[in-house]
Amino acid sequence: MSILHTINTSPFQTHALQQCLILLNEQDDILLIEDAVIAAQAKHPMFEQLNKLAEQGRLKVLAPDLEARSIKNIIGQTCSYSGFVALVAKHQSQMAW
Amino acid sequence: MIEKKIGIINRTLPHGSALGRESLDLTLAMSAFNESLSLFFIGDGIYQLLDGHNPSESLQKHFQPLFKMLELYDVENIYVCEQSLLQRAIGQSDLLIDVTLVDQQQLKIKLASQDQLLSF
Repeated sequence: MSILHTINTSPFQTHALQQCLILLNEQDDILLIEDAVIAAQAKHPMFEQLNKLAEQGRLKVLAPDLEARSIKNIIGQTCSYSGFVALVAKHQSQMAW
Repeated sequence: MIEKKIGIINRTLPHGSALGRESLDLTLAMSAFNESLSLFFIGDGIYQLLDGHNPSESLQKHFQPLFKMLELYDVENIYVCEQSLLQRAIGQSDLLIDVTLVDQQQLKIKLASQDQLLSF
């Protein structure tokens, strides 16, 4: 039983990422979408924690949202829209923060 | 009549909401009858100016080139928070247009000198 956690808000605007990290199980993945994609680039308080997830291959970032905002040099793996669908299929359920 | 000094504050990322677009539309429209406009980019708002947006795949309007109209419309008071740039590892040269960098102390003074503030 694993969960795909999607986060769509900036870590500087909401506590969604922080709350998600608290409840994250070992088999879960995080996918950053929309405004949350900057969490893979900016130096916010949870960055090191995210970096650990990235090293384990558990952090994905939606590529079209990175391109829209011109965000480069990120941690984690980029993911296309079809990759998003594959992630949803891989996990038992999805949690939208 | 003395013209009001108006400060337009941008605090949000582009494309996640329409706020950035709306702020820019408002600025360009107001510049026609007010010459005392100041634009502020603080926090996540600095991403509005990060050069190279490409929202075509996410099917959104590419409004970033409109920022270049500000110069044409004589909107010259454009202030960007230095700490916000540092925190996001973004340099002044990464930005699309010429801006004035201000620290938080200067920002406080600039904001206090406006008659009216509009926050996006």
